[in-house]
Amino acid sequence: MLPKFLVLLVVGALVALACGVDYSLSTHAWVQQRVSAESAEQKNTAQAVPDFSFEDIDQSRAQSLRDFAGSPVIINFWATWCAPCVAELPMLIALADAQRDVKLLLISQDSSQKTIDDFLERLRRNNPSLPALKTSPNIFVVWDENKRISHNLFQTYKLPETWIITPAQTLGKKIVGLASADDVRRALLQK
Amino acid sequence: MIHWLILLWCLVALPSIAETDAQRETQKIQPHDIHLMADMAVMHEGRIKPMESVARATFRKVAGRSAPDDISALEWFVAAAFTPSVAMTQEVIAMGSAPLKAWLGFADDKRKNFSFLETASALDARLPVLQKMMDKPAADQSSLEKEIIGLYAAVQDYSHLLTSLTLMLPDRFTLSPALQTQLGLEKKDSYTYLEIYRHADFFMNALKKIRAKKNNVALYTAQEMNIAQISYALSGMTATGDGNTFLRVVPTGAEWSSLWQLVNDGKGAPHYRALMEQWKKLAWLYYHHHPQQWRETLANLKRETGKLSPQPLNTLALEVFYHHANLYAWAAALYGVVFALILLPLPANTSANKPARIPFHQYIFAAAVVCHALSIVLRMIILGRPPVSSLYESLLFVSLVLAVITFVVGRQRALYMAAGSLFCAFLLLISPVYAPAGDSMGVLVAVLNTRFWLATHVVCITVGYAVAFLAGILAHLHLWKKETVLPELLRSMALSALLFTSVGTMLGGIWADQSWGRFWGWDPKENGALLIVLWLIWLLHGRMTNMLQPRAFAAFLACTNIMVAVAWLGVNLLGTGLHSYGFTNAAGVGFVAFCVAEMIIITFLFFRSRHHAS
Repeated sequence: MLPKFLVLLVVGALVALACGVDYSLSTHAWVQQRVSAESAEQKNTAQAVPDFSFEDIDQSRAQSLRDFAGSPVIINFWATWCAPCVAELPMLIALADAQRDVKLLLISQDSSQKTIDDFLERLRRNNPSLPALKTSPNIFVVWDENKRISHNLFQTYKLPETWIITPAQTLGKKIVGLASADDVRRALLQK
Repeated sequence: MIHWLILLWCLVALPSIAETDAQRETQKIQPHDIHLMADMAVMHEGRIKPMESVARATFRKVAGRSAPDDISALEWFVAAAFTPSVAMTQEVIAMGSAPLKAWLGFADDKRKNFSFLETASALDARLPVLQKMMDKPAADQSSLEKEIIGLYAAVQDYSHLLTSLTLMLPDRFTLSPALQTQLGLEKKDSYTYLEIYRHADFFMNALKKIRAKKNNVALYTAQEMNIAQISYALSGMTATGDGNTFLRVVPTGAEWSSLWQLVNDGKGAPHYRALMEQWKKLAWLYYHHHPQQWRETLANLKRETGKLSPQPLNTLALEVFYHHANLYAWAAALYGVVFALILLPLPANTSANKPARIPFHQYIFAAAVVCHALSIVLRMIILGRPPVSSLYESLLFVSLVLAVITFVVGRQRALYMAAGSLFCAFLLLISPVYAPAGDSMGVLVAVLNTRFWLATHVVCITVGYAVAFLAGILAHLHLWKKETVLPELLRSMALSALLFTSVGTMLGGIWADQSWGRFWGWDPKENGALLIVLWLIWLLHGRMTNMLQPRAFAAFLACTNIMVAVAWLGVNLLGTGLHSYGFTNAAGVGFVAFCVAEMIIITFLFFRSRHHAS
């Protein structure tokens, strides 16, 4: 009887079509890309860091990020009114003092330079073992008065935030919130 | 929920804001400019989709219908994001049920839709009771409680939409000239949140000093009042942005981020700068009415998003087309036309095996099948998987299988076409009832996320449902007029249905063994599939051994429709078992009505045919 075969044929063809379309979709390049989207995080952090110029807080040293090419750079965004920033600052300074090949950029979001100066003086007084920041060759304190570096360039609004920049001047790990010495050391070891 | 109160304060209490919004009413970007945002990529509910889909899903969730009366869902969506203080007073939130209205204190109000302002305030006043409801297990919640919780979820989504862009809307803050000078700001009438946020510590310290000096707000100078207002608005807006992950437009990795997340959750990075700038510019252009620049900025924004996105964005335009074409509606309408053409004007056409007098209906039927198939193929391309992962999708797919078989087997017979087109139209029309709230193209639940089994077990079992359903329809026709459907056709259809349902059930067992560690667990859905298989085996054996006469065989085969309805839809109403992706509370009454109506019709047809035979 023709209809019986016809029905089976049509339905079979539909199933085969569904399987075929499914197979072709699964082998299609963009579906595979969709599946491999998990690797996207790495893609985002492998971006080159845009260059920017800055002056040390006492305006004694004017430099740009590119001057540090070849060395790992820690960029820490902080402010005197931010408690976790204040808590992690001595650790970062001590770490940079111990590893002179690492450059440390402490970018402050405070609204006045005097506040930063007063704070640094207090910090030194309370932590006599810390090096003098103004003469340290690899530590730079920068006042980001107009948020040119933090808000405009790095899109950093909440503090503290610490970026590790690789010697090749690409974005390495980003630590949001209070960082521990182990976090930073581990991040520095990552390529 | 506490954020709603802050939101109300931020957006309504500041007079400058309300005024500028009112002024802005006269300056709008045109609808065709807004529609350029349709294929803007947004990550929503785990999938990257065009803004058109997000807008439609959100409107459906909030207002309970597909689009506003006077504008499109996308226009509503964009207006809500760019002009939240206007949107929050618009009556859009659906509140159909009387008990729900009574619970919220709107018992005497005849309106069906309420504004965000009214609804959020009413919900906020009942927060402790609402919290208790939400703490209950879902099984213990009454239908009213479920409705209230559903409304709360919709209002929460809406509040996130309203605050999604507030960080860059240009008229959030008005500063006195003295303050502008003190902060070294460019002289302007108003500033964005992000512009003022740069000076957050200034306002924080200034307010601290003012409060230390003066306890009474009435004693504040104009300048101090300005500082206090801005300080509170800043912290209020920061709070409303916390946890706002609604409009994820920044490709920050496999999971995208909202603009608020860049600011509040530390998701920012130098390579998102261009994107952020484009969004700021877009907001400014919306407010200042520059359509040409709006179009250019939008194009740049899409390009920048595409560059940053690790996922390809090449199906967004197709998805927008899918929504606009609305091919299912066309297919349903064309099936309806076929039915009308065959039966209504020319009842004589229904006779026996003669070809229809108007073969034109075949072309229309073919056009309906093409529309129907095209929409399913589009859905497959967009989602990258077979369209059989939810009850809604299986309704669309089964009706297509039904239509194709009807066309192939019965295109020469008008009555077959009439029955097929009626049922296809019926299935397409009831399908929206089973569509999930919001987006019907959701991501797959984990257990379904294997393409191989979706393409084999689920396709096979749904084809089985479709053939079984068709066999049932043909059995109805046979009972109505014996000559219209030959008994051999009934038997072959029953055999085909048995083949697909039994193979599909076995494949399901193998999948269950791999996923859940057992082949068979007497799950309601498994029992439903087995019910159809056993029913068909019983029928076919009864016929083969002549225990069932042709008329009785046809009557029982017609009852297969009830079996299919039980296995396909009925067991989902139980809300238990492992096949939770198909659970629904919708249309329980409809299901029971269908079963009862079928019993009555089949009994009537059976006795009628017996009477005719005698």
